[in-house]
Amino acid sequence: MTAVAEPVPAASPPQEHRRRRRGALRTAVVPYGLIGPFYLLFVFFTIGPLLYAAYLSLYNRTLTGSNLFVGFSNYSTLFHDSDFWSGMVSTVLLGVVEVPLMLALAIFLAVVLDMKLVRFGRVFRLIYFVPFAIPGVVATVMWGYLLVPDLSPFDVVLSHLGLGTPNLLGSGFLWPALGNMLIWELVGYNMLIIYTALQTVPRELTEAAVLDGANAWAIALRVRLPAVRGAITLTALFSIIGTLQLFTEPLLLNNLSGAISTHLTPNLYLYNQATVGQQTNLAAAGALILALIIAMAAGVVLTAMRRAGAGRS
Amino acid sequence: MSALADNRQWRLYGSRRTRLIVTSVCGLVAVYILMPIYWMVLAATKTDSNVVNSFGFAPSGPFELFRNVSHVFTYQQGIYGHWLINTVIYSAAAGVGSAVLCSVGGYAFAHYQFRGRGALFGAVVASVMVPATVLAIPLYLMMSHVNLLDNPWGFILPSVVSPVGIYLMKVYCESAVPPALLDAARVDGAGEIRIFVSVVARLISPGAATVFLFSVVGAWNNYFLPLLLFSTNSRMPATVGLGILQYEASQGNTGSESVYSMVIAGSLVLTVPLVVVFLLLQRYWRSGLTMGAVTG
Amino acid sequence: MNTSSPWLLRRGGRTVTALCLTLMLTALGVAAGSAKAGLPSKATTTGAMAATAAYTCSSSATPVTFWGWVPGFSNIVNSFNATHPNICVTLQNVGAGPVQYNKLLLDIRGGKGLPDVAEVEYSALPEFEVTNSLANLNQYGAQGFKTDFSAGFWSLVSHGGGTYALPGDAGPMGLFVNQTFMKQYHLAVPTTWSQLASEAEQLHKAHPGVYLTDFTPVNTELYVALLWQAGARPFAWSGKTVTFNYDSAAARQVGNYWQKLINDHAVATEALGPPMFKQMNDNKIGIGIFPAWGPSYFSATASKATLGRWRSAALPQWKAGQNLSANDGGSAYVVFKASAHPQAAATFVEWMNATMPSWKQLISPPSSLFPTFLPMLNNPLLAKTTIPLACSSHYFVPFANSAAHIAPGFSWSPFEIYGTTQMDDAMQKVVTGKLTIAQAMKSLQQTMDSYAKQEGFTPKS
Repeated sequence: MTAVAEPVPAASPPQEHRRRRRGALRTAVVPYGLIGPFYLLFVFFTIGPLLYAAYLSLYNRTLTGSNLFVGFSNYSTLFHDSDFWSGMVSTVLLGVVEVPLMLALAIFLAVVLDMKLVRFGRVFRLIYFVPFAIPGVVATVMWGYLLVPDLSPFDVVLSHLGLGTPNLLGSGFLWPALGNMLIWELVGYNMLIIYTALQTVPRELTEAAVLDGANAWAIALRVRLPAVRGAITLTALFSIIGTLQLFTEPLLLNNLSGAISTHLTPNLYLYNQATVGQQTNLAAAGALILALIIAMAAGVVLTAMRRAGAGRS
Repeated sequence: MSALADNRQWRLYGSRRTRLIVTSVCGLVAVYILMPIYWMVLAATKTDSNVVNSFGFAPSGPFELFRNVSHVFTYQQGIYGHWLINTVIYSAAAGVGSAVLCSVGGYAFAHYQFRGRGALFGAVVASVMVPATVLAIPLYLMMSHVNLLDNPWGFILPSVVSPVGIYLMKVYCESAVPPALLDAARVDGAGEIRIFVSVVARLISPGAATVFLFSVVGAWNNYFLPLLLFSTNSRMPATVGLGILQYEASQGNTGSESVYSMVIAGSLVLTVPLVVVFLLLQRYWRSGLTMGAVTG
Repeated sequence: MNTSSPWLLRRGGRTVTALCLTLMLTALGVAAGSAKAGLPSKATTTGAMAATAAYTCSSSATPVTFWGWVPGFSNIVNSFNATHPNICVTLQNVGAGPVQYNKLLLDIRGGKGLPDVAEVEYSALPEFEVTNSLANLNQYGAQGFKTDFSAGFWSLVSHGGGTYALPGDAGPMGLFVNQTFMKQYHLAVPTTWSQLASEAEQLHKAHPGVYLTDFTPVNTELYVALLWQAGARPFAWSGKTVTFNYDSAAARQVGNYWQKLINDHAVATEALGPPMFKQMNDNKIGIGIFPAWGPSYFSATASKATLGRWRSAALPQWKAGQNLSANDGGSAYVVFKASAHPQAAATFVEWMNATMPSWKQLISPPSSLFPTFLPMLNNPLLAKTTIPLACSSHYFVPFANSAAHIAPGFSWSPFEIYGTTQMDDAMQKVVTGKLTIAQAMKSLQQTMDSYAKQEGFTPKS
């Protein structure tokens, strides 16, 4: 995708020379000018805080105002912090269960809608995408009120069935509740990405398979899905990143659920360290550790998907 | 979006039984998706005590939707109206800014060769992995130094930065703008900016509309940044305001004022415009997504 | 892609614009309609406190910014502005408790953006004292109000000779008892803790589906209040030394007491809030160990069936004949050194917390605060307050008595914004049975000692 100005023949040499030089200059400067405004904001609002966080992570500022350089001691404190790591493990476990479930559902829906196995496909697609437009605050409030014992209609149903009125936001149900919220919020968005990718798969492959006598499921699994591996990788990546950064839902559910500790997820833990604990230096170090872990997880997923693709052929 | 299935041919796949099962599953999923929304709409029509004491999935008692919604808008001298307007303005500004900057930037990444192009683009895309919530505190301290605190620009400007938007526009520009067209325009002597404005912009508008929508949604739903940033109630967006109302409902320290139904009605009021906009503009974002979904 | 598109889609862009404009205009219209200066805002509720007309300050009045989250403060601010035309107070609700404290602490650090006056709970006050950012109110006449407050509450806002806040509301502890429940199960209202324990055990053995009371260790300030009443003093600090003592004899007495009841399943363990209130509605919990603000919190979700059945009573004692109590919750009001108009700010703080006109509004809905201000505490107006849950009984009287008998000598540590969440975490493990109270307290001790060190303090045992 390159664009280099081709000098136009048939102009007189001095003019052509001047035009070529001007063209070259323009081509050199213009792209920087085009990305400039975005990049300016990007540097100030993303890179800046990142660098500042790296700087902060090497200091320790106290409530009384002293601000001492402590080197890597914050990182060391975090490595030995069982709360941070237990939250990390729980969140990773959540991801291991919730992301494949959600993606499997998203892929299933995308495939059946793409193959028009369902009537009113467009209506379903719209319905599935609605949660994307709903603010996280609202989604959490809705689900919170659906699960909190005094408001929950599920508890009413369960008690009629003789199963009592369990606290669906209590410690036994909390992780499934959070997983459910994530699935509810993300399945439609991911389904749509895979669906639109499926729409662009060339017909020739499918027609060849039909001529070979394959049935619907075989076509879906062996012809259409592999062709959209890129889209599936993308959704897997975003889902894992989003799950590992889980924060808003437990934060907002805290008022309703008595079972949310300050270190339920690593992101929540760091938020509490920074705000409630006023340990912004520790939190900065933690943010960088978390970012590194997320990057590694992303790397693992990308490698796995690539290997799966290579293995096929 | 080339050759697409002939509908009739597709229906040859899958027996009636398969299609019945599949449709049922899809129907169940649709019920699952709509269930909380249905609950919320119903709850918004109930009085406070009915919200707590009646069965959530059935209507109950007097129909109080309009009373609840007007209660939302009159609570504390109409602060919710301010909040909602703020949300609309901030989101629209972020959306426009994001659409313009990501279009221009994505076009540059797609159709120009320049030093550092790969690294610059990679840096933007990789930034998705950094948890935004914890960068918020360093960002807050930085913004404090430049007097951006309690300032709408302190919310709008960061919301314009959309790594997904740049990625989407780069991919979209690559597939929607044929280089030959650009070359032809250059041959005709058009300047680079002129080329963008008169040739490229029209071609990439569905992608730009998608970025606009996604940024609007992102800013509309953003809770944590404005929570930190704003200390004047009349400048807060509705997500923060709703959080304040929800806290008051959970603490019950509002005496005889009923806040539960107000929180729910407020949530509904916050959600409906976005859903409506989405439904009406789906033609744009669907084609925008298609281009963006074609990844290697 | 689409072979057919409904008319809505075709109209797409134009319809969206129209819709957005309509929405904005509606929102604008409603907002304008209800925010007109000088007009009372329309009906908020049935009967109760109608919103006071928004008072427009004169432009020459001294501006004072006040950050607070209790509903109804806007009425207080209006009343003050109307009666003090040379001062103009603006109220902002930037979030409750820790949300507000975080912004305050960040602004202290960044040097800008602080309000003049802020609401700070008693437990968070030392943390602000330690940042050296609070104005000593003695220079603005605070000592003149000392006799309007009990020694217990005055000591919560004083440190090292300075007065750093005026006490506001409080949550003196007591019991809220379901009389019908007690009659049904032939129980007397317990006056000692041992009586409560034996009644609880017997009741649950005989009727496994119900509980005499609920113990909520995750409501950390309530648990600390119970420690406080028993004579434990978990916190002490001065200069750069701090002492955490969660394991004193008195603390262990309280911990063991409740651990036994938890182990024997003789008490429910819901957090203080809607889950607990639901059980009270359903007659499954007979007594609430409540601070003074508990009944109004309960009443928000009380069922019609349970109205009228409840009465207040005194907190049980460890030794028969004693009369000691403790406090759970409540806020004080500070002025920041960085304020541009500290005298005006102090005037507002003093009016709000130490005058009858202010308190007459504060004890009514929507604020419904329980006073520490002695003239109001002893006023028949407070005593005569009723609540539907308690029929026509004067349910505040036992709490007022409790307020007068708050055990002296208690203080919070400078790290309680963090400390209360850590105790909450530890107590969550107690509720799920992973730890005993004693173990939870030990791990809490370690956590807070290392936090203190991180903050440059020396933990002393």
